[in-house]
Amino acid sequence: MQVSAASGWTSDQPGPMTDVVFLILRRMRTPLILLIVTFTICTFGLALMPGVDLPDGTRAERLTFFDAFYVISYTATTIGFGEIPGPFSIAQRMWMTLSIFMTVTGWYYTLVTILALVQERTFQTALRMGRFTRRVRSIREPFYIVCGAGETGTLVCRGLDRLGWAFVVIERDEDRLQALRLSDFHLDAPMIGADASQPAVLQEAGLLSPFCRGVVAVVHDDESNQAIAVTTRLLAPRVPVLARIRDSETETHVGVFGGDLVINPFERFAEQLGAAVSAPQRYRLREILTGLEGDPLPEQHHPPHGHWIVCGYGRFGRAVVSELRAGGNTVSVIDVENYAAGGVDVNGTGTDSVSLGAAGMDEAVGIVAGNSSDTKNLAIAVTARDLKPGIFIVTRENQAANAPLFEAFTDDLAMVPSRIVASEFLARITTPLLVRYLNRIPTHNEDECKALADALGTVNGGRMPVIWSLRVDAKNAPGLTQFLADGGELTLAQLRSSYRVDEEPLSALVLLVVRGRRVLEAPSDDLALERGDEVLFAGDDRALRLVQLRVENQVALEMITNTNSQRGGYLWHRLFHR
Amino acid sequence: MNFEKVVFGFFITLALTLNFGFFTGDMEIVDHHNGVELIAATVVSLIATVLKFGDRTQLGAVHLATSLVADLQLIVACVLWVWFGEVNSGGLDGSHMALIVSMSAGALVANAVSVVLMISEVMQFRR
Repeated sequence: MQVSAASGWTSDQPGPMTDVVFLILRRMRTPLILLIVTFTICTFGLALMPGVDLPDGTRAERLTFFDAFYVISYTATTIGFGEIPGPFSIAQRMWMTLSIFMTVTGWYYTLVTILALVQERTFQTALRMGRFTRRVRSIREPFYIVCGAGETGTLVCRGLDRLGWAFVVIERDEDRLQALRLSDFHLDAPMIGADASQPAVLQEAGLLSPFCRGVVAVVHDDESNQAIAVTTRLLAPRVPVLARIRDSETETHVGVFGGDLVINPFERFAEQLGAAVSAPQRYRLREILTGLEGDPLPEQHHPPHGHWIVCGYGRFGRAVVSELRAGGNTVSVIDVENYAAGGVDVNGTGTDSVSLGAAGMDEAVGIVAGNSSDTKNLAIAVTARDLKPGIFIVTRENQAANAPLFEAFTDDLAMVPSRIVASEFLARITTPLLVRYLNRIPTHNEDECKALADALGTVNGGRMPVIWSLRVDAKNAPGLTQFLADGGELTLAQLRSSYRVDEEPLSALVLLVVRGRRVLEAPSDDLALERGDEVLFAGDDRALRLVQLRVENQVALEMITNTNSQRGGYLWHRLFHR
Repeated sequence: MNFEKVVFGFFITLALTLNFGFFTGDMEIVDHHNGVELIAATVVSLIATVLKFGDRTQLGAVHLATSLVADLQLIVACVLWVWFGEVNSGGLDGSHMALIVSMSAGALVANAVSVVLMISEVMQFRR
């Protein structure tokens, strides 16, 4: 079967709503036939019963078929108008008694069947699925499909909601879904309790819709995420997939599909921890760029160089150790479960002074509590602080629900895997250009990173900056495109200038300009924009609004470039400039 | 042998035969057409319709459609019978009967299509 993106979406194959109708019809077969049969028998019988004896010795006419049908109709539905058109004979009354029991029973049986059907699980699922599909189909704006509403999924949803993107949620666990439904989103997002790794479910969620902008696969297990990636790639090749893969081997498999973002939280986490220890300013710059706009700025960390202790040598621990060693530190590893596998220096939990001492607690400058159990990590951190109050403590926070505990402990650096994945996905969703910028960060040294981070920290009044990108073309910047076509020239300094001379320029930084194949990083202020440029900005809300206005409206543009030979809108031009 | 299939075939065929029984005879002669037979044809046709509920195939949809047509025509015929016979002062006459019978003739065609569909389905299955 050939499913193309266009025809698949508007296909006339029966949807879940017809499922509901057919389910009802199929169930109603028996009660309806019972109803028809009882009505027929009662009507015939009543029409055959002899009428009442009249005073003149004759006998009244029998009821006509129509009269009989009328009487049975109001009797069966328990309306009971009485004996119409006239008093009944005994025979007719006997038949009516029988009819009442037959028809009323049949009628109630029908009602009970309907009620039972409504309460049935399959029926409710079909009904919910139908409502979900209808709502998804009515989405007429770009949206994302979020598969999995665990911690990461919830964070992604929150971020999307805050940024004003529409999204659809698929989650297998009804309880989690219920929790998500109760959280106060601005937009009423369609949510469904289903297995996202099934292609049909993804299709119902709008995978083939022309408005689908991407699929975020953060289901609990790797296989499902992989299945989601494969389904999306095959059914909707133009829709990007953002997938979380915990096992690095699976990651390479999914990576084959190309063009998508695959995140391994353990590696990403370790990479960032390594960066946090060896290059704290670079780490901070990255945090600022991928953070949610309007959030408070991250604190500055200064992790020391020297001897580190790492507790837990699982997938996460291994990645951390290699990052730390690459940064020129010495590392001792403490673990119980992975002791036999090798690479572990001390067999212990790290929650007691003996094992910590064996790992070189005396000369250690930092300790990483990297187990998959939050309580264990906290225990390690508390012990370490007891033994050596000045030590730099990094804890791995597995469950967002435990955040208050970690906050109470006030460790030096707490990293939450789910938050790392979510912020990376969100950055990618909002501004694809940002990913290109992030990839260039490692080429900067610490001083440059510090200068950039400090500058970014100030543009939005001490909060996380608003990051947005602009493409200079007729669709996204009609005013500017026309202005450039007319021979105008606009430099970045002009674009950022305020309307009045005595005012400060707009609070916006130009991070990157992509022109064809060339990438201009931190361009100078007198760079003139050209058609087809892609520009990455960081600034505040007001700057975003004004820049958007200027590139869309030629008049606003002429005001800042002082070339306002003609003012006014479309009507003005038509009337006075012909 | 599937009992459900027997019931299905029975009602569809009975709908056609009863309908035909009512239809035969001179159109304008009232005595050639029996009201009870018309009611029976209508009721059986209704039952046949309900039996066709819930089949999602293309054939099932056409089946249901023909039955609905037959129901509609027969119910109109019944209403006309009551109207002319009991509401009108003059009672049923030849021209009224012609109208009622022509209505049932339409239903007859729909019922015939239904039976043909059923038989063709069976033939296809055999092959």
